[in-house]
Amino acid sequence: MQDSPLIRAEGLSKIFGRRKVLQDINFELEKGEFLTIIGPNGAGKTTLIKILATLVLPSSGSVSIDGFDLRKDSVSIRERMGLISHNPLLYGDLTAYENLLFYGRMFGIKDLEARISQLLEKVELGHRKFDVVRTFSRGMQQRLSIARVLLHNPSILLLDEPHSGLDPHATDILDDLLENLKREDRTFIMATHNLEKGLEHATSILILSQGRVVFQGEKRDLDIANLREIYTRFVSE
Amino acid sequence: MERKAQILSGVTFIAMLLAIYMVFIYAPIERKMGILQKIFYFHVSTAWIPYLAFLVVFLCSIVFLWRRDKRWDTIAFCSAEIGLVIDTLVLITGSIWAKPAWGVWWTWEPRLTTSLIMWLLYAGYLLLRRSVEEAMRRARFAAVYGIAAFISVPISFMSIRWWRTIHPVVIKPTGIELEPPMITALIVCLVAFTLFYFCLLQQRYRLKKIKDEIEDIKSELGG
Amino acid sequence: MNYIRQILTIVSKDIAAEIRTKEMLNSMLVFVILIMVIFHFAFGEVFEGVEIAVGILWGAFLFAAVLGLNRIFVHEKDEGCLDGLMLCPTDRAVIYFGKVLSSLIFIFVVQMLALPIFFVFFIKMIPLSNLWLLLLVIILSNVGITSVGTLLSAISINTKARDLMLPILFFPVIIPILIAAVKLTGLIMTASKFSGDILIWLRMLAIYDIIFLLVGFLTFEYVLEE
Repeated sequence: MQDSPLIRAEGLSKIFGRRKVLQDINFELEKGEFLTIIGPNGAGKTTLIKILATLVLPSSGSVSIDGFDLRKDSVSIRERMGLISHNPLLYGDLTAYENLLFYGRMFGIKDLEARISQLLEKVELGHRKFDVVRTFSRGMQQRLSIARVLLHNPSILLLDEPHSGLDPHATDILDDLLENLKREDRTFIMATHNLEKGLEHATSILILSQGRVVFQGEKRDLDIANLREIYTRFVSE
Repeated sequence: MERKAQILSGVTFIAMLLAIYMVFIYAPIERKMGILQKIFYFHVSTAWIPYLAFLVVFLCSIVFLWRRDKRWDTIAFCSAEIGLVIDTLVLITGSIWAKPAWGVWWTWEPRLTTSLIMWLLYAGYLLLRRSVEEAMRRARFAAVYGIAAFISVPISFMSIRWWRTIHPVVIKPTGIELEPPMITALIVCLVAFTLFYFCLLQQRYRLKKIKDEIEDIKSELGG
Repeated sequence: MNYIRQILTIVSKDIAAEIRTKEMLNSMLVFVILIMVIFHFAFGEVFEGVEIAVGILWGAFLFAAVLGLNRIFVHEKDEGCLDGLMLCPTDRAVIYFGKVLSSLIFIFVVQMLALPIFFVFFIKMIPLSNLWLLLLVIILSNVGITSVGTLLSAISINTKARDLMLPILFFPVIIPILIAAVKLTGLIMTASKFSGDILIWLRMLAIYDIIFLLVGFLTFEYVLEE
């Protein structure tokens, strides 16, 4: 397993009815890398993330993550992976603590109480532990969502438009958190339509348009000006 | 394909003509009920078609979930539609038959009641299909309901029958003695209607496929 | 063991949320009483005897059950939490059994609150001697109602018609349960002791429960997957 990449997608396609959402997607990702998927709305970014998260089955093609096959070993993949989407995936009627308690138990986490307190401190929500999530601001919900994802200490993090709907202050907190997480030897895949944010964190970039990969490149070869130029060239319409 | 379809239609047509001949000319007129008894042949031979049609829905639903081939879903849909139409006929001929036989238009007799419940189940099946936009999701939902609905049919039948046996039946069915020519006519009629089902299924499937292809072309031109 | 722990985790989460809002229990309880009142007036003066009362009871129970079952996936769906649930390292069947158990508990609680009211309204006395048998019938019926209802609720929440779809799909499948439940409740309230008929119908309920739990268990993952 040492020489094969952590994540490998081969010939990935997804068809919803008559709509070909993804066509023949191929990429590889090494441990510790940060892949940013950029594309306009409807390019298939969310579907690709959902496939990697085992929420959507691909119509054809294969994905292996950490040596596990996406179709056969989805449970093992879920144990290693966390998804932060623009939807916080939290229960509004439950408190922050109850939400984390629920997900922690589902993952069978040891020393859950201590873990929850530690994570709530990390996302600066310790003071709101017993408040109902419905009363939280969008930024606070997103932070709690990060705490939820980190409960089982996943080695792979999937981020689907994590910045959308956040005010500038919440965006800064999210970026700081991401910077910290990057130092912890994790692998990231982030989907976004925000070129600056995408490039800021990435080690490599992939541009999706109309369900196809139109560009793949390393961050060290790119700056924001030529990324924007490439993006407008491939995603003209 | 086209050739086979023509042969099936031809054979069905001949069988139907033969059935009409057998029912109206070959079979004698029943003594007690007279000419009214003729509807019995059509009622009995249509009555089993919904069971067959919904069995096809059930089997195709299982194969669809297993294989993920949309063709099975299309067959299931076509069969459900035909089954529902013929089930409607069964309910109507059943009422027409019930009037002279038992003196009422409707009786909560187990077989008739089961036909009514089936009608409700598969009307629901078709409504469900209309309420889901995305094709693969529609196929999955319909398949799951197609399985659950069919499994409930024998359970419904059994419980209605037990319910009747404990409840005394108010209207006693008058038995009819079938003479040998009547039985022959009934068998011919059964075969003819079964062929008719397959013929309809074949044609409906062809139509549905053409319609889907047109939709494909439209969406390609539009997008 | 793992699966059972996860199922109970889902159930306790649902109960915690319900205790906080009580939206499902309150509306089910009011609804069940409302239906009894409506039936009372619908039958008017001809209303007499246990048989009709039993019909009213199960009519009310079934309508209230649909009301509750319609809500069982609403929070998961509208807050996007179904994705969160599906990201947990577990089988889809765990989600199914968790939701069956949750709805079973909610429906049972409402029934236990409504039952005394029913006795006061329609029977004028409580058949204490056969009460345990009546509870058994209610629980067995509930297993059938929720095993089918949870599966169909997960389907209908994802359709355009949403809450309109569930009763249309649910009632024709549930008719055997209604027949058995009405029959059994009638027998229990009128007969003084356990009879062979009761056994036949109890067996019928049990068979139905097993079959439909199996159907739900085997097909639920196809409802959730995309």
